[in-house]
Amino acid sequence: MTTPAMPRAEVALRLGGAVASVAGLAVLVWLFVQQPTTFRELTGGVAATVGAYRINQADFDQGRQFFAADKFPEARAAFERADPASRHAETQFYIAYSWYRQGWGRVYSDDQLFGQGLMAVNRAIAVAPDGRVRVDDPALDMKTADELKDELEQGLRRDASDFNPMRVLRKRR
Amino acid sequence: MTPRAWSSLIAREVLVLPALCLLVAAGGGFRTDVGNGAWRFLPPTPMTLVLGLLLVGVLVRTGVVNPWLLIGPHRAGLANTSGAIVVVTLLLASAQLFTALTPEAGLLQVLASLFFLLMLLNTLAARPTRGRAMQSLGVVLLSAYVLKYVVLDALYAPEGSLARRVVTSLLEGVSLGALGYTSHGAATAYVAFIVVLSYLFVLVLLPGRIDDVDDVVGRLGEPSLPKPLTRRDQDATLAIDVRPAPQDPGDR
Repeated sequence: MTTPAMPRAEVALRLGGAVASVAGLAVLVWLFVQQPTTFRELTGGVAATVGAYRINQADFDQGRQFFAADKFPEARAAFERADPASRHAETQFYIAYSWYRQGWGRVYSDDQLFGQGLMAVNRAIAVAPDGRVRVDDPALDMKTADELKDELEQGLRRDASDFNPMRVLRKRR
Repeated sequence: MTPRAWSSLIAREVLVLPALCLLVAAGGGFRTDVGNGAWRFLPPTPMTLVLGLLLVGVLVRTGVVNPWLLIGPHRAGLANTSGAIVVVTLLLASAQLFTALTPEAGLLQVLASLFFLLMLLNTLAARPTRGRAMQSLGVVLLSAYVLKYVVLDALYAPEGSLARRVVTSLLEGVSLGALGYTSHGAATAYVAFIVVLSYLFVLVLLPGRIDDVDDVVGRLGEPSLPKPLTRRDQDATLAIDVRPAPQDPGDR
């Protein structure tokens, strides 16, 4: 069966509509996969997808100063201002590290704070290219997200080593 | 709607319908947490996909949508692509409509899914006409909305009164704690309302079947209403000349 030739304007309209619909479907899939929890995360996520997302460097630097001074809640507040959409791997790594250092104890570690740290380090890994996060900061003993994640998971695990009295001699990393 | 009439509504087919369906698909999965207001976007579950497919089947069977006007060998390739996009987004929107109206977990989810399944199967069997199917769907969807977002959300609201908590505890006790309903943030109900209305609007905009004569001809022994006169009937009526025939001049 032959169909009559379409006018040029109709072809353009149909092509435009098809492209817009496919783009809309892609956005829908992105929403289901990325699960933005706030409007800021939504806009930041879209910006990050097109490579236009930038953190606030001043807030990030302030966060690092607070972190170095062991002021962890203040550091996290600054880091969250710097990266409101939680799309910057390095900032999320610092947030996870701040939870680790705040929750670390010579006798026992705080499970709730370590749990928050684990979520943050997982976010860092999720948004990092190839899932690799490396921060070359001399003030940090653990330079990669993998080391930090392992340390947090060890802190959350219950096993016989928890009763080893030599634990009190270990150092905060 | 005739193919000629539908082909003149290109913008509706390529822009309006897909956009509305995608809006329904995104909004249907939207939830806000009642505590911190955090957003969630629920994708369609296998059950809602099945319900969505059944709903599209009902829409086709009842003539709400005529797929032949969207896809077929009589249309050009690009036009068929536009039609296929409408069908795919309609399926997605139908599935997400059930995501919006079904509780997320627990016994209530099972009961709601079962209710929708039986309702759709019943509609398929009854095979009502376009107008009646749309009226029926409108009533069912809005009732489900009221039940979930007005009654259940109010009942399970965290700041509920003592009476509400007693009723909730009784319900949970009777069901051995299997109800498992969690209320939503306020924004969820508003978005779900827009979703339901948008979906009903989509049904109005879809190209329907033209042989929908249920409002005129009764079915299953119902008394029929008189058919309105078509243009051809009117012409035929006018063609019958009731005036007395002129006398033959030869008779004079």
